[in-house]
Amino acid sequence: MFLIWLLWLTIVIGGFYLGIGYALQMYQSGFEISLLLNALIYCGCAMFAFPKLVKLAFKR
Amino acid sequence: MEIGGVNLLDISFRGVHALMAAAWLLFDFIVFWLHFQIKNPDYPLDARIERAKVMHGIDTVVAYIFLLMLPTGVILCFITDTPIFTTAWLSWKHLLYGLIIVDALYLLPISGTALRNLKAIKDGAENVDELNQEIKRKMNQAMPAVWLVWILVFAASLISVLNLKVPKGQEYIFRKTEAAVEMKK
Repeated sequence: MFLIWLLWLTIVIGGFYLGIGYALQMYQSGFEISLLLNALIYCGCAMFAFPKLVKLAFKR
Repeated sequence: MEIGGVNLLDISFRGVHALMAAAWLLFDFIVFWLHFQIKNPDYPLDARIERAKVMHGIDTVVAYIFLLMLPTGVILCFITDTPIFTTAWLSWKHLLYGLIIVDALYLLPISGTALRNLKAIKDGAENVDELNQEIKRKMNQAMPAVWLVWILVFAASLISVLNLKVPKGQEYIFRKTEAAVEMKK
């Protein structure tokens, strides 16, 4: 159970941290393909994991 | 904290981060090697279950490595004064890690199928052929993703090694020369 919590927490927190960070970086310094892909992938993973984390939290 | 010119915090996090990558590559290879016997119905059932248990255990360790790689990497960035969002090589490395996360989310529902089905066969399930086929199908489905993870971890390690920084004023990567330590005193 601890591993499941760690999994969704890491993906949600890490995903939003890196995804938003890279999006802001692209906003400040202009378009760069790696920044765009990072923003999309990390935000996408975090958004995918967020409902699972909420479900896990409220299931208890 | 420094001893003999070695920054213990820096070297600990670099060491842990590098060792985790090495362990990940090794464990992924062991999982690949184990899967041949697990999916083979001609192999004795008890031996398959034993191997599936080992594989499941290794998968759990790999999951911890995968999840702890990100926080240790972020902490390492702060320790080595590497800007997270403006370092070009790091953003490519993060992209590879992002792909590994996508890969892991794909592998998540497949994980544990073999052990569950093999236990069901041992408990006397009637649809043995169907369960064996599901094991084979799921494992054949998972192995390209396992190899992709292996390649991505290897590529990320290579990017890191090629961009290892020598801290300013240091001749060696991990320690200061005696002259530099004396000068600091």
